[in-house]
Amino acid sequence: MNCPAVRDRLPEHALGVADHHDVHAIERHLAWCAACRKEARDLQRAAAALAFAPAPAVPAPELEERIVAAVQRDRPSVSVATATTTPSRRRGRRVGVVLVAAALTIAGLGAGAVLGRRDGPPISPATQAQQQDAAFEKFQRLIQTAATADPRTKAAVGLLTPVGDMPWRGAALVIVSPSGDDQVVVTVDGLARGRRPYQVQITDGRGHRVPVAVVRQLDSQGGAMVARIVARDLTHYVRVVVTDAQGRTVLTGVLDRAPPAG
Amino acid sequence: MEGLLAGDDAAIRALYGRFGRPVYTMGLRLLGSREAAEELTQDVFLTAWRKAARFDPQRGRLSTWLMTIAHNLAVDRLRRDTGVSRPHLVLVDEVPDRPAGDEEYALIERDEALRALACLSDAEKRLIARAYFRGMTAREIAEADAIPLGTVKTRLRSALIKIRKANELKEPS
Repeated sequence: MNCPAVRDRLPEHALGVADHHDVHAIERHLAWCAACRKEARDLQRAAAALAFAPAPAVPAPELEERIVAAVQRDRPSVSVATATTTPSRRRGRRVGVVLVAAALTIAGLGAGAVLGRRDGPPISPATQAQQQDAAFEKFQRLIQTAATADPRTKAAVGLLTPVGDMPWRGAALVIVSPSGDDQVVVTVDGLARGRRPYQVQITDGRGHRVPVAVVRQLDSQGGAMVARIVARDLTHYVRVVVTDAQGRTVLTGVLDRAPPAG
Repeated sequence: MEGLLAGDDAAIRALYGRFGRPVYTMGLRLLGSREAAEELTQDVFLTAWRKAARFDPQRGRLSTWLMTIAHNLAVDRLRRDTGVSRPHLVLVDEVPDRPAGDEEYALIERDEALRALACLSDAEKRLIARAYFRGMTAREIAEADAIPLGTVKTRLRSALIKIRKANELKEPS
């Protein structure tokens, strides 16, 4: 997409209503074109000002506590979706990579070492950190290898958080390969046996859903890992939803595109 | 943001104190129910905590970053939940409730927004509102109003530039 085509789409991009197909092309262009990036930033800042226009509504007082509690639950699992090499960010990625590495292992995608296995022998924090760093490097190489084979290959990762104050959690990974089948891996933990079977689905922004798996078996800690190869384009499928036997949502999360390797 | 990166409760509460209300308000306006607005607000702050490392103050204001996250999540949900009742729009005619929390910031930001909107014509306000608060694409607006797509895009851009200029003097470079 060239500059005039991008400029034509920037108002909608700033207003959050650009076509999904255009968004990736626009963002690729903005990554290297400083002039368009400046215009995009100006328009986005203008659009963000609109957010404060409606007369403020008052949320329930307990919402703050719910949010703080949700962040606390999420704390051990910082997103892996940054591509820097500063020590502090590497630590952030390290703790988040456990579930992803485990998911990759289960899916047979080549991550290798089994990390964070709850039923494995205890290991020291230093060893665990070392293994997690190694797994992250393998994860990067996996993406790099796929990207070398087809530069359009993309990976997205996300953490699943519970609806309500529950101990459930999970993670998901999607690999989108234009030249091959797309793949979804989802791990869950802490689910209640009494609410099985659980349905795992991935959805796009327009109400389309793709079933990933039905979870009928859970381990002793309510965990399971499922994977599916999907013969369709999952580019815009960015939300994972896990529902219980009654159809109630128990876990949900938004996938975030993973960084390019290297 | 360092506090947020570290998962510091006080930092999360401070961020919520400043932006909890506008994020919730956006959820209510776009999604039309308290439940959906609360769910959105929780998702926004979780996303902010997960993406805190990405925030670069050299590249923009915290409010722009956070409210863009909020708006993108809200529009995605609005499009997904096709059955959701779309709320009536009220942009400038309501009197604000007595502010709570970070009153000064809330007043300044709302003042900026209202001042920016005041520079738009009524037609421009309606156009911007349909895109921003109802998630309508330029094509959908063009089809609904039977006007050329290019005209809608030009008008959207023009309106955003007016808003930008209206607030230009108040923002850091």
